[in-house]
Amino acid sequence: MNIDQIIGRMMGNDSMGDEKSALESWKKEAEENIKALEDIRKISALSDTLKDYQDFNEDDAWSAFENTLSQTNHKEQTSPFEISVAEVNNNTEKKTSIFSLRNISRVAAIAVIVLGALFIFNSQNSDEGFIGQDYASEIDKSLDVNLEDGSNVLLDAGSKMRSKDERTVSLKGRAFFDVARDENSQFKINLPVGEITVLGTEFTVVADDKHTEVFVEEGSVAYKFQGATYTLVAGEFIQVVDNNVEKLQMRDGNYSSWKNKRLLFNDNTMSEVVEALSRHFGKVVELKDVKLFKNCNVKTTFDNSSLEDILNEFSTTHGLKYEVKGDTYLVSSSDC
Amino acid sequence: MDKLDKNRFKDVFKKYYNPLCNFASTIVNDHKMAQDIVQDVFTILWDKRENVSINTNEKSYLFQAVKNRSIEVLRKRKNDVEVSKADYNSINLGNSGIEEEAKNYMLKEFLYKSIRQLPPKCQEIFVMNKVNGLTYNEIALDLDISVKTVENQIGKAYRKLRELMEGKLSEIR
Repeated sequence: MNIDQIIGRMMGNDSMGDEKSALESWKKEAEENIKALEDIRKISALSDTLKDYQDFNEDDAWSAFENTLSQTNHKEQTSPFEISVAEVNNNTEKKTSIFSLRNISRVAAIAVIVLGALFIFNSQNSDEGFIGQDYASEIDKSLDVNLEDGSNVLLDAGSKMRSKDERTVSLKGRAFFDVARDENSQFKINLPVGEITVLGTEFTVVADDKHTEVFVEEGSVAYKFQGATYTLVAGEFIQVVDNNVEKLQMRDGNYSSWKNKRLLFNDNTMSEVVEALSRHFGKVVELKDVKLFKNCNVKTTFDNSSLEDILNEFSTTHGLKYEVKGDTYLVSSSDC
Repeated sequence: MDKLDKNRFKDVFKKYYNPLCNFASTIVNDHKMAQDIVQDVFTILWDKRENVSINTNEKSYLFQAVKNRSIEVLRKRKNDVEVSKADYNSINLGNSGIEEEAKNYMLKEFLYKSIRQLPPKCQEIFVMNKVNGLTYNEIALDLDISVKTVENQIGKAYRKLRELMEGKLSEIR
């Protein structure tokens, strides 16, 4: 019997017990359904607020905390040289999400960045006789690659990668790796200078013959060079210039701006800004006289803008003047 | 260091660490800074443990301490006493007290942990939709499945989450 009939019968003078209880159970079911829908709406609304929710890994944090308890002094994490303090970029890209829930099924990512115009593999690292898969991105577009082991690589424009076997690649350029976790097999990245091994994490690597940078976003990574191994955890950054290794805390929120083309400045000084611009565009952007810009603070976001667009915007807002010489942009004068 | 004390402390630490970090991060907008703040608060708490009884309402205590410290960090960053309007909005100095804010974050934490208990495929689809904001069509394309499958998985996710969060849902207005 459908509900119309039940109601019709019930409202009639000779309604019987059957219809009444059918109506009752329909009513009960409806109430349960209403409650269910209400619950689901609540869950949905609450889930919406989880967009920026992060996993801060309480287990690791407790281990670290416990260690400091057993020592009398607290650990010192910040090094004397701190790169600019800027707002952490909270943007999550649709393709490679940094939201850690997603990473349970994926895993870590390593971003490898290579500076420099030469993209010829260093003869030290190319193995003769090995047959691997070659990947190269175009000069102005990123390339998304899925590796055999389930790892995913986002190759930045103008980068090259060769996969040696299921868990080893060579890279020259800049890329972001999402490495599938395999505790039995380390993932290895051969760089022009040094090599990286990881079980599964997220980090960025920049590597060419002269300059190497490794920045860990999540998890931990081992960087090996000249017999020494450096372990980095999230937020840490290593820089190798002319065989000198420096380990620092990365404070620049725009470090990974190349991935989603967004530069976010929140009350940054002009020095911090030109450093982020230099890194993002791979050019040299300098202030002619730092003193002139002492009180210049920048609070804007640039999405997909060219360097010229950004500098022109600054000439309007901060009275900047700049001159270009090849790859160098010299910024002078300001209204600050 | 009394063994019992430390174990109890560990439980409190692990229970509140994640929601506290997220709470701090909302205010200071910096994940690393947020962790530093929370760790500082726990360190101070540990140092004071003989003198402080946090048995009742440890939740409010912790959230208030983290909030205070976060605002302090914000102030130092701005270099003056005035905190911008945008920050006020995120700090929520308004009517709902720390109790309300704490409850809110604990709920988020519970949901977060519940989502992690969903079966892998179901979880991935749910996260792609609700957290990453992808449409069913986009998800279907990305994972190479039908929209119908996406719908089913989402429905399944909600059903399971409802089961996992039974009892907690009445706390949400």
